[in-house]
Order: sequence, then C-alpha cells, then structure tokens
Amino acid sequence: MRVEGTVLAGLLLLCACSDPAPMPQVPPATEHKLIAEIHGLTPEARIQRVLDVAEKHEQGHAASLLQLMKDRSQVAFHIVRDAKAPFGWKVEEFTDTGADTRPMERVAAIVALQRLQVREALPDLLLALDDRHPVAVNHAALALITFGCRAGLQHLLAHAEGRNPTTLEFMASPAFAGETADAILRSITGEDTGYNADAGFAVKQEAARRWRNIIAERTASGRPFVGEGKPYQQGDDAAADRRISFMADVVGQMQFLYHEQARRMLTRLGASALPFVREGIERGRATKNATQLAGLAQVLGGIVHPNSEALLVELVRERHPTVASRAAAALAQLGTPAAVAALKQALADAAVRLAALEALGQAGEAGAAVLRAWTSDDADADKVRTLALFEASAAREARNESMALLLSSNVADRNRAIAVVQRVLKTDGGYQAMGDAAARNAAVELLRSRLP
Amino acid sequence: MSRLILFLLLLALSGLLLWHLLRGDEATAINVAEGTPNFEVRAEPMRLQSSMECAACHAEVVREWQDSWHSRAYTDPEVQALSKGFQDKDCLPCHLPRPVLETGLSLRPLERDRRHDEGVDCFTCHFAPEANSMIGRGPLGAGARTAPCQPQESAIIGSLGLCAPCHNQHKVHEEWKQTSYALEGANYKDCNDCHMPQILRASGVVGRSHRYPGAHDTDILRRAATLAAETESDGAVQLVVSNTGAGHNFPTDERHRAVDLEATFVGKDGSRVSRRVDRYRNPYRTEFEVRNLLRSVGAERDYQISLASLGSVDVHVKRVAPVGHPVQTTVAYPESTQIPAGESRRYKVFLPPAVESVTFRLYYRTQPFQTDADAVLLHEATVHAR
Repeated sequence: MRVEGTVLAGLLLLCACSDPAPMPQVPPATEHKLIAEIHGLTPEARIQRVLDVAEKHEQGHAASLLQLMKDRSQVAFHIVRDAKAPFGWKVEEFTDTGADTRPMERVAAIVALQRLQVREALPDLLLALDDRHPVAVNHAALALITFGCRAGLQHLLAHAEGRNPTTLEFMASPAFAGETADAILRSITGEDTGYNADAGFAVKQEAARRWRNIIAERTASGRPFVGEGKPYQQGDDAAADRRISFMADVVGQMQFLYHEQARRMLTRLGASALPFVREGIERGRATKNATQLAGLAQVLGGIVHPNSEALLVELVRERHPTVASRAAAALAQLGTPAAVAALKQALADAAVRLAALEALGQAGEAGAAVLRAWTSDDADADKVRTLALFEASAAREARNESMALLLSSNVADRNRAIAVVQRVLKTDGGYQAMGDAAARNAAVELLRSRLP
Repeated sequence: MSRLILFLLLLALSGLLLWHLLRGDEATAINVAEGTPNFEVRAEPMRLQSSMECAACHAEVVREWQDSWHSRAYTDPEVQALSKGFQDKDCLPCHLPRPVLETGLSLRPLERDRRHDEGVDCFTCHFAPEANSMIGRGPLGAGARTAPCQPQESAIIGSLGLCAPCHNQHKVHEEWKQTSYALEGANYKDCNDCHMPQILRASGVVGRSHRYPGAHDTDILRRAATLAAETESDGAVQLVVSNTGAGHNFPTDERHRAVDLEATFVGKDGSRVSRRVDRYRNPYRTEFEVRNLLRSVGAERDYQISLASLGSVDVHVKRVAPVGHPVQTTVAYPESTQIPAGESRRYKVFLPPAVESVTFRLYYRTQPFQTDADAVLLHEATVHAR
C-alpha cells in the first residue's frame, strides 16, 4: 500500500505541477437547437422563426442567435466555446464567406437578442456596427442603446446623411439605410426631423443636420433616450463579463485582424470597458505579453475618462518601448494636463521619446511650451520635435523646417511630415511621399500657400 | 488486487509523464519567449545600435541582407503605397519589427520607431534582449569572445518560430504543416531550405543566404509552378497548372499576391484576343463577391469565355488531388483559389473554329492590380488547333 500511496501522491503532485493556473468558471456548452431547427427552411421561414423566438420570449437560444448574427464583414473570427480555455472561449477563423445571402436573417437575430436582452451579445453587437449591410448596423445601434451603449449613434447619423461609416468600401441600399436610421432615431428621441429618404440631397442633408443637432443636445444634457438601458457595468452579467474579458486577451493574440477588431470593440464599449482593460493589463503584465499591453494602451486612447488617463500614465512608464510608445500616442488623444506631464517625463527615455514628442505636438499650447524648452543631441528626435512644434503651435512655428522635411531624402521623414501637415492643414495638397521629386515639390508649394 | 491497482496507477503515471514531456515543446517556447533559460545573460548591455554595425564582422552577410526584401520591408514603394505610407499602423509590426524574442517565438512582433531604412533588420532574428546578446547558429568564430555583440550559439536560429511571427499571419506555416515536407525524415524541408539556402560565400565560409529569395526572385517563382498544354485527339486543349515546387499554397503568403492564367487566342484571320482564364489568390477580406468554386479536391466546373468576333471558348476545370503530399484538410480561407502544395488545376479548353492557336501565360503579380508589364511571366505554352 505504501507504494500505491507514493504513486498516488506523485500523481497528485504531477497533476498539481502540470496545471498551475485554476481556470475560471466555464459556461455550460449551449446547443444550437435553433440553428438545427431552421436548417433547410426557406429564408422567409428562417427569419420568421428567429423573430418568433423574440416574440414568445423563448429562452436558451443565445448561442444560436449570436451565431446567426455574425458575418465576415464584422469580424475575421468567431468566438467559439472552449471549456479548457480561460473565460470559456477561443477564437477561430471566420469561414462563412462569399456573397451576402442572409442580411435580414442577421437583422432578425439582432432584433431577437435586443428583445430578449441577451447582454452576452454586447461585444458582438459592438462589432456588428461594421456589418456590410446598413440595416444590420442600424439595428445593432438600436440594440446597443437598449443595453445602455451609445456607440452606434454616429453610425445612425452617418446613414441618415448618406455616408458609409463602416470600414468597408461599399454600402448596399443607401436609401434603405437612411430610412431605417431615421425610423430608429425617431423611436429613440421621440422627435421627427421630417427626414425623407426619397427626397433630394439638400432636403435629406438638412434633416440629417437636424438629427445631428438633436443627438448633440441630448448627449450634452445627459438626458436618456427612449428605451435606453443603464450603461453596462462589470458584474451585471457573468456571461457578458467573460466575453468582454476574453476580448481584452484577444488583443494580445497572434492574428493582427483579431487585434484590430478586439480593440475596436473595447473602444466602442467606452467607460464600461475600463475595468476589463485594467484586468487585461494585469494579465498582460503577469504573462509578459507586451502585445496585449500595447493593444490595450491603444484602446485606452479612444476612451476619454479619468481612469483611462491613470492607466496610460502607468503604461507610458512600461519597460517595453512599444508599449510605452503606444501609451504616449494614446495620451495625445486624451490631451489632459496629466497626460502632458507624463509625456514630458517620458522625454528622458530615448526608447519612448519619439512617440512622446509626437504626442506633445497634439497637445496644443501646453505641448508647445514643453517642446520649446526641450533640446537634445538625438537627431531623430530633433526632426520629430520640429514637426511636433509645428503642430502644437498650429503651424505658427517651425514652418520652414517642417516643410523641408516633406522633401527629405528619407521616406520615414516624409511620412511623418505629411501625417502632421495633414492634421494641421486638413489637406495633403495631393502630396505623395513616394511620388517623384517634381510632384512632391509642387504639392509642397501648394501646402505652403495654405499655411496660416 | 493491489498489483492491479499498482499497475493501473503506474500506467496512469506513465501517461501523465508522457503528456508532460510532450508539452515540453510548448513549455520551452514559452521560456524562450521570456528569454532567460536558454541563454547566458551577459552583464553588460549589448552595444550595437544598427544592423550596419554588424558589417564590421559579417560584411558578406550584411551585403546579402541589404540585397534582400527584408531590408526594404519599410522603404519598398509598393508596400508604402499599399499601407498609405504606413498610416495603417497595423502593418508596422512586421515591416519595422523589434526583436522577435522580445515578444516570443511564433508570436507577432511589435514595431520599433527608428531605423526605418533597415526594415526587418539583424536584431529581428538575432537579438536576445533578456540575454544582452546576439545569437547565431554557430559555431562561433575566434573573435566572438571580444565581439561587441556578445554573441552566443543558439538552436533558435533557424527555427521556424522566427519566421512564423510575420509569415504565419496568413497561415503559410499552417499550409506547410499539411505537406509531406513537414514530416520528419529524408523529405523534410522547411522555410530555410528554399528561402535561406546554403551558400558558399566568397570568403570560403558556408552559410545560409540572407537574401531570402521569395516573391521577388524569378528563379524560385518559376520553380514553384508548372504549366503544361497540349492538343488532344478530340481537338480540345488540355492544360495543367500545378504547384510542384512550393511547400505551401501557390501563390503564397498574403492577400496581395496573385497568379493569373492568361491566354492569347490567335484567329485564323490573324486577329488576337487576350483573356484571363483563371486567377489564383486569396482575396482581400472585403472582397465578398470573390468565390472559390472548387472547394475541395475533385471539384469541377464549366464556364465560358467570350472572344468577341472569334466566338467563345468553353472551359472545364477540375481540382486535381496533390501528388506527393496529403490532401489538405484544414482550409483557413474557403474563398482562396490558391493552389495547395502538390495540387493541380486541370483544364479542358474547347476552342471555337475561328481560332488557329492559343498561347497560355502564367503571370505572377506582387499585387492584384499589377500590369502584365510589371508582373513576372513564369511560364508560357502555345498550342495549335487541330
């Protein structure tokens, strides 16, 4: 028995050593009963069945609805249940590609998720704002309002104005997009701007302008929209928590498309994402995942909130140069006094100096004051400082030197210079960094003529 | 009874031990990523700042690298255009990378913000940041002891984990893993065999080429694929395009690459009409209408190409099983029309009576909008109507 006991102890010890990290609670596997049920039905019957789920408040179909609302235009990846993975999910390549044959089925699934108030769908609805079909985008925006998230308002306004807010290069049925956007805006505001999707361009633009004013006024006053839910808070829903937490890890995984989409989702979630981002940063530090830290720094730049600033001030001091540099760039987006102070301090570190200088350029007069006083024998930094001062002073200072950088023999200088000049003058004057010298000279002359 | 229990426990223990050992690779990779256990940590920081400083001891290697597309990864005009002057910052990590070992083998690197004209530089693969040391395959030369790069030998150099961080962003390694080249044995070949071939340098030293022949090397491109055409007894033209040389899909890597099968039909009246017969590429993610109609080996389809006044050509194409490699079962991108290793596309082309001859050309384009004049003509074959 002593031998068996030793072996058992060894086994237990080995098990303990092999798997040191306790896995968080894993959600139970959900069957895709609904998907199986609608398989083989006509498109109309499939849509009707999905809408019935919402109408009859049938429970237990969340996983199916989440799958039905997905499209390659929203994401490059699926979130797939995996009992062994942290948070219970893993990513898999999205393989459902090709022509769009089921946009209204996606809309039905989004409507069902909204009516059933499946909060687990929050991350997916935020990504659905990139759907290739504008009606799916509009309904995702409405669903998000009911979940207390206003990330889709700009998409509704853009559709009302006849613009395509997604990253895609085309947009199907702009009139349909405007009409549904208008209907949703009316439903959430209780107002009517007289928008008519069939009216002429000028009439539509005027109505769209009124929508923009109404939304701006409502946002400024803090008055809630009709049917607007409370902003999501960590702890509101265990499944949603795990899903959002998982997205904060996706920014540190292998595929760059995954990073981009996970970052976008967290940024759109806004202040509600901050506790998840903070925990993601802690996990990134614990696992030495610099990619995750750098990605989360970018996310924070898009969330204007005191807590973002505090996290970024920490991240700009990270040892990894790219993490610190991306944090510096993110601080520029916030542009607060604390951000400027942190950037000023970062100038001492050669590894983050260039990003800090560039960021100070975007901080207006407060940044300009730091830049005027700063000197170094770092040639790269000197060029970036020149451009930053040009930007921070709204093109009043370092004009000739900045314009000269547009004609530099170094393409990196030219790329940096045109990015700054474009931000300041709101035009690139037709400048192409890789164009021939004559074309560059002509563009620079034009840009000079636009200097204030 | 107790013997049985003992036996079962020992069996379980062996199983667990085996599992634990098999996990070893993963554990090693993680440790390597953290950068400590395999290296001797040098007390002094490594003093080199630029790849150009490496030329003091490795002049031939640096010259090879300067001639490579790795060194031009940032400055290449085509990349500049496609990334809009790198305003798309998500392109930077692979075109201006920090050392791979900083983020970890097989993981995507992060970007640096200086030395843009060095692109994918020496430090990307050779610098072990935690060890303050440059690493090489070895053996180290006599000067290594005092060299400013504080070098040490490491088997990591040559490992695929150094290529994968960038080149597997579009699943090239996953494709390779499904070929017979990935199986241990006499036929084993990896990235290095084709893209870092052994060379004898002028100095008499045998080493691995740092020119990295690939998409910009006509010889390696021509070896990757074959084109064969002949007129059959029924008058139809049989045409076969095969991936005979690439250990991954053809064309490979990312979505900018395209290979076009084009044909110039010459009429009996001397008129000429050029048409595209097929295109092999992995479409951009936003190209929703691009469909791969040959989803699996054995799939076939028929289509027609109009030649205006010369009539129209009927085409039958079949996806033919790979030779020398297993059928790939893991398909990352269903809409990709790339040709996996060993596979062929067999066409039967029925020429209209007005056509006298046809010349098929296989063009390699580094991006899908490239003109024929800028593309690389890989192969051509002319057949006459019977």
